[in-house]
Amino acid sequence: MNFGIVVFPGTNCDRDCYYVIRDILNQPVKFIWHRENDLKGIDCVVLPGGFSYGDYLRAGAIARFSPIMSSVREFADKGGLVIGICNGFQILTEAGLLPGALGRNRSLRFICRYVNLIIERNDTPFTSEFEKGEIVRMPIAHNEGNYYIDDLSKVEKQVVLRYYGENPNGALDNIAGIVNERGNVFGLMPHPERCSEKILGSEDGLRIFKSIVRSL
Amino acid sequence: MRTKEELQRISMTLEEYQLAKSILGREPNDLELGMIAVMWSEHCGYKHSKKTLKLFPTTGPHVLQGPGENAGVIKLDEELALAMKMESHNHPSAIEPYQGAATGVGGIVRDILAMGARPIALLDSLRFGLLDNSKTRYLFSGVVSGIAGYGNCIGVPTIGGELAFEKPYTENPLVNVMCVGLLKGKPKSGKAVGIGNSLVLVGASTGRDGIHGATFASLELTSESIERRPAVQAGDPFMEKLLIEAILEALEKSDAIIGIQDMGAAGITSSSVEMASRGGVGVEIDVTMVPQREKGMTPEEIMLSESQERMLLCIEKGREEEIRPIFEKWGLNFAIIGHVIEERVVRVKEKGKIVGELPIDLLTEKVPAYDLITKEPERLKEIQIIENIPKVEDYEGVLLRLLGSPNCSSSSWVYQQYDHMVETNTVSIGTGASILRVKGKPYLLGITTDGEGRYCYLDPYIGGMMVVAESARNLICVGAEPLAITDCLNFGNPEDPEVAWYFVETVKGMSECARRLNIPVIGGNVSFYNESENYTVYPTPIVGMVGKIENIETICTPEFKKEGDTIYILGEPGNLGGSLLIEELLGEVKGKPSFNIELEVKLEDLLLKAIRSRLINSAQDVSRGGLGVALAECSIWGNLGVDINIETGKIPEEVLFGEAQPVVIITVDSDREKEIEQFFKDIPIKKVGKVIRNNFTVKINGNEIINLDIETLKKEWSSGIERWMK
Amino acid sequence: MEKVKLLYEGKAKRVYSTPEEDKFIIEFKDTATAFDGLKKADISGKGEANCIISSKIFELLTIKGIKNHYIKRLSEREMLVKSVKIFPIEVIIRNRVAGSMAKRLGLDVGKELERPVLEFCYKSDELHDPMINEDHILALNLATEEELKTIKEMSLETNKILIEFFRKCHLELVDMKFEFGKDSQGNIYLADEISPDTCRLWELGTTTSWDKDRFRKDLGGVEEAYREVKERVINTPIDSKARIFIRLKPSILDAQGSVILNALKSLGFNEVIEVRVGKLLELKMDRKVDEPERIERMCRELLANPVMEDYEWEWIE
Repeated sequence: MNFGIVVFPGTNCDRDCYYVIRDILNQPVKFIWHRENDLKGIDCVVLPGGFSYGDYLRAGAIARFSPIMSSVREFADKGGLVIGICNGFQILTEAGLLPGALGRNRSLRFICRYVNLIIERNDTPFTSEFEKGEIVRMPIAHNEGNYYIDDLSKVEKQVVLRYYGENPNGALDNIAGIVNERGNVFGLMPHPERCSEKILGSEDGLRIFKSIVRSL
Repeated sequence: MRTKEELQRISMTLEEYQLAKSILGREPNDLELGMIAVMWSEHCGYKHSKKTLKLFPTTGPHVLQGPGENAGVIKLDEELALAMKMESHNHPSAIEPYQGAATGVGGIVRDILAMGARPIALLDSLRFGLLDNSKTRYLFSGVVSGIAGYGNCIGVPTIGGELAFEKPYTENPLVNVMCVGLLKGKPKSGKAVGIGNSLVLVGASTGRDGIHGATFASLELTSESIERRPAVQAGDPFMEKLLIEAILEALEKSDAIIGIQDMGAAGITSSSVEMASRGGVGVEIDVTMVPQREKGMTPEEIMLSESQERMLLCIEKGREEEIRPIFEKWGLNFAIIGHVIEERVVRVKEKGKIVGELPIDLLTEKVPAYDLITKEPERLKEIQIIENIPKVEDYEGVLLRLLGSPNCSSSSWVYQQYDHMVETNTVSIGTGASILRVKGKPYLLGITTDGEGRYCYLDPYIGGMMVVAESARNLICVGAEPLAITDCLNFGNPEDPEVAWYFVETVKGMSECARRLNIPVIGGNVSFYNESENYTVYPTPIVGMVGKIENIETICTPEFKKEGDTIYILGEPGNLGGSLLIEELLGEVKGKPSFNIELEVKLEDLLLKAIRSRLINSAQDVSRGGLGVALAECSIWGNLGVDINIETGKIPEEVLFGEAQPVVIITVDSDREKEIEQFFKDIPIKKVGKVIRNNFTVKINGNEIINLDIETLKKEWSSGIERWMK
Repeated sequence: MEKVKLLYEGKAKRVYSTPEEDKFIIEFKDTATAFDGLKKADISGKGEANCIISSKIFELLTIKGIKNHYIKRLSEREMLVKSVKIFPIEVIIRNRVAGSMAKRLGLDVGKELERPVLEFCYKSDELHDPMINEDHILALNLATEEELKTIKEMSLETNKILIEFFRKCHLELVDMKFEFGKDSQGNIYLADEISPDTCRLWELGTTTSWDKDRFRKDLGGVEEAYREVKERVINTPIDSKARIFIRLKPSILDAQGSVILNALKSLGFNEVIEVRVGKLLELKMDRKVDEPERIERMCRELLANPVMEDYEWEWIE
């Protein structure tokens, strides 16, 4: 399973994802600079968290014009796996690879803490290691995680993760992570790479990466 | 000849001007005078503190870089070294809290970067007035969002710090920011050497922002300060993030970079002069080569601009093109603005024509160093006495009140706004010292910042010792052996003899304690003139300390671990001098703090050994709010209760809420009591009770005075700040 | 917007009504006439050139704060304008001596005037547009004193702006003709067109004509002249600024707005019932002819997220 981690200017969770994939999962992984456009040999593209272009204008709004994004679109159209974490999720919605948009947190503050999540679907390549309805813990860390879509019915079947118990950011219908219709592009606000080791307090996130590896 | 008003505008005295003129042997032109003024400001020149700071112990076998560089560096093992530095950004934060705090973070991160280190953690020590004041809330939330806005964006986790709310900080908050970084091999230096080598400005373009910011930082705050708003700069964290990656990539790929220097206060002037001074050379700079953001800037404006996110590199002549593409890849300026010359001067050119030239030593070694005139305040004796210790009727109520005081309560409102997990090294925060793992290494790092204004106000020598000791004790309590100190000394106007006395006494106390505990001070910063129309801040030293935990098995944390564990107290709790209780009940800070350095040395040594031998299950330092608050915290964090009975000859107020140091609460397996008592036989140790499931009950000499459930404690503790900040 | 009814057909233009009462569509024709209709011909590409040139100049004037009837260009030869009632006055403004002025006063063609000269003509085909003065205008009720004052001020200001603009096109603005109209509220707008049909334009520093004089005087290269002016006008940048407002769609909770609303109320400003917070962007541009469309695209493609944001924009001085 070859992972490619896209690095935009301002991305800051790239090295964290790299560490989990290479050092914890022992899978081949490489960084892909956003000006490149070659995804040859890659099985799964990771759009990591951070502040691409400083989140100036809107989170993800500028990154979606990077050259790599047209390759990511083609890659996704051919069925390749794409996972966008936090800022990566924001980029995917801005790019139209996932429906909806992520607005400012209801509290107007950046929120960094663990939240409870319920697994709504385990029939995706990203969540096969979970049980449907299982409650897991993962950290969030964002300013713009308030999921919005004008017509909820459009994405009802695509919701993979929901906040469980308390909704930290005002997201519509507690949506924390969704896939596209085809199920090969996944965006989520929580950071699985931050909870993939016991020493960091939770290993729930590792199961997302394990699901991806298992899917191939 | 300059008028007094003209000099006042650049914060220079007539005497200083005449001294500068006589050293120079001629009248300086406007550009030169501007350069002299900033380099002779307290902020850059340390003219009031230089002599006192020599008291600090600064060396040790593991110290790779002591004071004098962008940051101090210690050796962690044969491969890795750690850079650390703390700095204040008080004045800018008072004027414009968001940008003031944000640029404070930016500056300290570049200091670490200048050592060739990747920043791995930020900590912030913050002090404000009381939260019932709306101005305080504005400053507080602005500062916190500024730190969050900047730190989160650059992807450096903010993992700790501390927080206090006391009246003297109402108009002059303290914002002290610490950064820690890791580097491989030898630290870089902010040094220019090699005649002909290039000086390269990298990062952002230069605008008119923050001109004379350094002189601004060397003034008291008045309502006119508002009009000085232009002296506050705006930060661009995105640019900083690019700068971090570009510098680290350049260092990894090429050895052509000889020196790196942050461009902070006094901009190109101070960075180029400092680099020249360290290298024993001179520099020539052509301001026309500086990428400018605004049109028509004068040489003086360019030389003094404090535009953020810029650094100065010294690059081997002829190898500039090895480095340029890296900065271009990251979309940053890379401008050769000058070169190293033999003659020990800073020569400024515009379009090839010399517009100013000053000897380096005029701007460095020859900055006047003043002997402080000190005077012990007369009121000191008076404030050291508590005439009537107030009798507490309702101990439960008082405990809850202290726990709910923003000075003791949970700071989650603050740290949840900080990304404290990015880089995936954060093992523990929010309780005692923060713990970071180092990827690929068995050892971990303990990091803490501690400060104490009220103790120093009541007794600066004791207070100075206590702040160092408490910081070290916090590290020991998590199983970390203290390695080095960086500090930030926040005081009023040093020309006021009482302020000067406080300053000198505090530094003496800190130095003595650091020496006794064998922890070198490897860098720091002094912030004077923390005064406003109505208040002078408490003399407030802040200490940042880093320690090493041997391995994951020898981490200790403060929360209670399991039912049935035996609770011991090390040291002798008591003394209400300087306590939070007295301030809460009497509305003023009074009494004489008490501290036992002999006991401290022994206690820290034994406690660390005990933790490393895995004898104990938890360790919690007793400080603000005393034993009562410390026990409650262990309960809240561990979600377990206590059944305590303390046999004592003291009154309950003293035992429960006194802040004598050192005192540490430990818990141990109940079958190891004998072993523990034997181990700590050389210091005071008292068995006081057991960890139980639910209730928090405290008896003094058999009389129950507190019986609360943990949920009640938790509710009070967790809402202390939040209730104000809704 | 579609054309509903042909309201008027002139020598060079047709004016149509639209489904909206306050808007007309002007269609530019290739036909040219001169000497009061005595000379007539089709100049290929003229309609298109005049439409494009006028559009850009009207946009420039909008940016500079001169009210005019232009709304937007619909196609290569159609523009949408505000429906205004045209004053029966032609305003001629001269910077150099040329045409009828040279004949009438016996002055050398090309002589620079100390100050711009304003002339008025009464619009009447039967009377061949006779020259009149201000007293005529007032006495015949062609415009009120107030209106005349506005028309004069707008003419002089427009002249100043266009001298500078055409200079950037390397063209000398010798003289030109304006028409004005007013809307139902009585606001006065610059109307008609601004093109080589209504302006005398010379190559800067020479007396070479780049306007209808080439047709009037049979100088040849008429089509080329119109095309050339069009190219120069299109390619001349206008320093301009657009202000873009972006706000959350009304259906989306504006958390910042709610917080601010509460703060205002707590300060006693109880009359405030809603606060919506938005972003303001100012773009500085060297504008090209189809810029309005481009700004729309900037908003749609990058500046606003259409899922949750609305935008509006305007030119600023």
